[in-house]
Amino acid sequence: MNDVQDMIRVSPFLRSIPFAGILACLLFPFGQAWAVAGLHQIPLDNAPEMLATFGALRGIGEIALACGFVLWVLQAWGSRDDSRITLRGAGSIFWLFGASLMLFGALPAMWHVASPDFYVYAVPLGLMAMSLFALFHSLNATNSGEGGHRALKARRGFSLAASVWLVFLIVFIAVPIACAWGLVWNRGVAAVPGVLSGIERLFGSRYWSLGCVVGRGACGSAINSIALGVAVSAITGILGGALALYVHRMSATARRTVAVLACLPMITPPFLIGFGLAQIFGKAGLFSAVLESLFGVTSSRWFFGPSGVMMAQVVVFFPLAYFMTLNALDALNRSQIDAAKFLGASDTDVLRTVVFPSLRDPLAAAMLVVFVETLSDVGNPLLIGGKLRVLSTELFYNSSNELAAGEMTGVPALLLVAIALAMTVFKDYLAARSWHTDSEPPLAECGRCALPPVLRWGFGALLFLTVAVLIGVYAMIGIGAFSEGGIVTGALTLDNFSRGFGFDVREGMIQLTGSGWDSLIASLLCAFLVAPVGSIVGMLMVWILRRVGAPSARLVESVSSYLLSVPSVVIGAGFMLAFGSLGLSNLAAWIMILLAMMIRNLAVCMRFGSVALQRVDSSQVEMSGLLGGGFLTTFRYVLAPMLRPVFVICVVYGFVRSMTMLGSVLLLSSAENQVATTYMIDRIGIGEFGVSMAYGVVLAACIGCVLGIGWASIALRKSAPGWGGVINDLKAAVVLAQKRGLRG
Amino acid sequence: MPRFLNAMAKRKVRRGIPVLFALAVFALSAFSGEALAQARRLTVVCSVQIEWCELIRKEYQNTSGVRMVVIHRSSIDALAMLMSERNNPRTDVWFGGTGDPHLQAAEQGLTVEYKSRVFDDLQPWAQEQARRGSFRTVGLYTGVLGIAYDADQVKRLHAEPPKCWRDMVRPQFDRQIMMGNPTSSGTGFLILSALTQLFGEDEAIAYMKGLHKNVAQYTHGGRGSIENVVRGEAAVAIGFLHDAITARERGAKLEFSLPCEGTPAEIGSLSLIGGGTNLKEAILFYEWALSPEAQALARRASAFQSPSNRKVSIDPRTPNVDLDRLIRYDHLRFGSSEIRKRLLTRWINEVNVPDNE
Repeated sequence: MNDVQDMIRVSPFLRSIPFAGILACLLFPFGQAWAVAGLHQIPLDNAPEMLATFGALRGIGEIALACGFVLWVLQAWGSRDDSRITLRGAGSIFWLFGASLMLFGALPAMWHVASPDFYVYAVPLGLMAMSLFALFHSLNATNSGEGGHRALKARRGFSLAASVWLVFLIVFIAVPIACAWGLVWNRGVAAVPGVLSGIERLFGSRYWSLGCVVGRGACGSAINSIALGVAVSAITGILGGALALYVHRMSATARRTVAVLACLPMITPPFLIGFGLAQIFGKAGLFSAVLESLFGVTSSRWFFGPSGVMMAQVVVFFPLAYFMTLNALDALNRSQIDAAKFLGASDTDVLRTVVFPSLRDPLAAAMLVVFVETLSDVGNPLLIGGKLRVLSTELFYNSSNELAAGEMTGVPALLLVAIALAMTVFKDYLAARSWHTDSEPPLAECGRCALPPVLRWGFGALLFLTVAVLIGVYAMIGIGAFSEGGIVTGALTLDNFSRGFGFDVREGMIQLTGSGWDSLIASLLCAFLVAPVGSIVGMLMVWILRRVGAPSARLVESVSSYLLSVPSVVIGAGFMLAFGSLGLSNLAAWIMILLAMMIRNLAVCMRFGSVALQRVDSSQVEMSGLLGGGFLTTFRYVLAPMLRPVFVICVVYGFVRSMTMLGSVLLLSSAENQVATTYMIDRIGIGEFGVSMAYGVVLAACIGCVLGIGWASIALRKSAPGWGGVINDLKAAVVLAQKRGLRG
Repeated sequence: MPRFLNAMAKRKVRRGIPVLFALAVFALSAFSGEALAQARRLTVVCSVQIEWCELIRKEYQNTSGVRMVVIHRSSIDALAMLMSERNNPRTDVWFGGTGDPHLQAAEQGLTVEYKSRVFDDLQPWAQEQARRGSFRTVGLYTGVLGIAYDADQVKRLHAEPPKCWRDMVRPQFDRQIMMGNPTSSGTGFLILSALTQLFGEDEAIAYMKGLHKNVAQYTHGGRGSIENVVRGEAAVAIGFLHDAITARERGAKLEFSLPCEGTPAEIGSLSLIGGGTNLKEAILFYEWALSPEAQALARRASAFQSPSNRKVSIDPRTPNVDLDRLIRYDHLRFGSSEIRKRLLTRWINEVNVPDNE
């Protein structure tokens, strides 16, 4: 007890060091002069775009440092230890943010000036060190005084790990966003940020015009993004829920077929589905041709716009809502339904009073996730959006030309981040108010709810329609891959495959002559690297945060979840803004792509990690320790088998996401750094539809293979009685993840 | 899993599957990198048709034994890429693409001066392009900009076939026109600058505003617009004559007309990138690209631009360039980055805005 109290009390001296140091930096002219001097030394014509990006960072860094300062002052008035620790932690995080921005702001000086003055880089580094120390110290302090000396030391290790984790997140997510922010405010080397002009840019008519509602012109990109997101998530929720309610009553084989079909959109790049739909419903599509020949209705481009994008995104994202609802339905307690029936409730009443309320949470969670996903979907609006403006495509178009060193890139990025953060806050708010049931998922009978006939026919028709559309889309892609020029009515040919994936055997060695091999192999390697590493890091971080201690853990967890909820396009654009202008070597560019992929997967991996840790039976671990097993033995024989199913799921999920994601990588790919999805988009953009579809087929085959292998490696477990055991494990895992409500 | 294997063996096989797969992937990547063993490399950014790029890659790799990496980028994307790589250039040669971005690259010092051995064999327009760019670039091919349309579709729209720029702002063509995005496609920018030269800057922006309502989609690269018309997704495309001929050779039913007010011809160029470590290989490739044999390859790839080397025999399908509809496009003016930035900024802020639709 005394140790811990001492920890909080002995530290006023330690506490005051970073405090005083940062205060000094803010106030004394010496602290200001170093930054301005450094930036002035850069020959302006050498890197005007770099100057515009990085010059503003200093201003934002100062504001962050000042905020941290305010928080540290506030914490002295905190009444409880809890709030004081949280405030201290938050203050240190702001300091860390500000210090890293200052360091980034000093980078142009270091790059372009031959021998920069010593204080140009020494001061930011000192600031970083001090804020890191402050963060470590505030994470270390805790109000639960358990454990002796050894626990204290262990906690120090965990606090250090948590601090490093936060540094990683801040440097790779928060700083790039600040670069985008800097572009909007465009402070340059001047004194006062152009706040008013910045706000004017953020709310320009380009983004917020309501023309399509009023009837004059079109709507701005932000309005379109939000409207699209709301529409798609609503439709997805309804469709997924309806399908789940219907399929829930079907036989096991039927359920498995639908499950396989519903998994298909998750293992193909989203834009391919949009493209397949365009083959059917586009102006030159099958459906329009049939309509024209049967009814004489002239085909038009109605599909290429909001309607087409909405259709494509619904098809891509409905599996999410479907699976979550299905799991919730499987976990329904039969006794409740029986009781309602016994009391005389009809089928509709049962649906209304028992089933729908329990579906509210999973559906809401799924809809929020779908909303954020549609925000960051670049491929579909790019290919089939026609002239539809959305924030993601604006970001893409404006960052791929050199007029990008301006607010044209910054504003869409900031708006996307703002909308995503608003959704995350909303999700947390809902989670706090969600309706929890504490019962464990029953393993025996599941409650079957009978649907009233009207709904049964309606949902059945929906299922038929969905399955037909899915099969149609993949059939078009498959046929197009084997047709001349990708047009379905063209001649059958293997030309597309040979151009993309041809090889000839020469002098006993296989030489790969197809143009698609490089990007495919690059994609596979990236995915193989990112998936396991991301899963391990995610699970490890959840475990570490458990051990850090209550208030700090909550703080770190919420900061992590907010930072990781940033849309992936923004991460890609931010990386390009922040690190791209530093002139990277090839290896560094690949590392950036890997990091972007990993960050995208981290949020989900952390959720899987918390599910995995919940399933760990601590009594078995203790028993193994009592029987004399060391850490490694315990890990190998007790922990790993318990964690393995969820770990494998996480790895497979991470692999599939990395192979099919486009948003974060699109802006980072250049020169030799092409991955599968950027190659496909490239080809479609220049009109090579056939090669692109062939690539899609090959990609799906690869992913299918890996999925099969992952499935096999967890299915062939000696302890589980075959497939049934695995599926039970999976269901329990997913339901548990969902039972924790909407958090994470 | 066969029953005769005992539990131990089963476990070993199970563990082996992912390992085997990983090994297979690594082996495959090793094979693809087998040519890395050769020390000679060349990186080319190629802004012409993808088939031509791939043919170049195959042929040059076979004749010279150099391992080539060919990156396909539209001309303006290529310029952006080179600018971002300025401090650490990874590309050696820029092959093809409209002339304006090449001139801008020369102006910004991204390319190096070099006069080819076969300079005197080149057509006068190619030599003029080199002089304009202080010999940091040279003309490789030329192509004419015009209007490509599907006659049946146009008839179904109850419209006259478009013969002039003015025809295309007619309301019958609502959302039926495809053109390249001026911010990413050299073709698109050429349209914008040609109209500026023909009508003056303000008139051109006003015309583009009117055209914006009729545009179905701004494609990323110039050729995509013609491909979309071939597939039937739109009725009219603004693009190059040689792309239309390529599509016609494949069996598409396209008509092509040169606008009555006048139209420019692009001069596709070739430049050596400065600052790289591979200048020797780059120069070898440069000389090869200007030779008659290499320029005749275009035909094999169904690319019908007019080549710059006088010694190449003229293919009958290649259009005759001396047509009186051609304007004397002011390459120097529109090759300067200042004018380009101004035009593009005006386009982004005045034409491509929601209020304009």
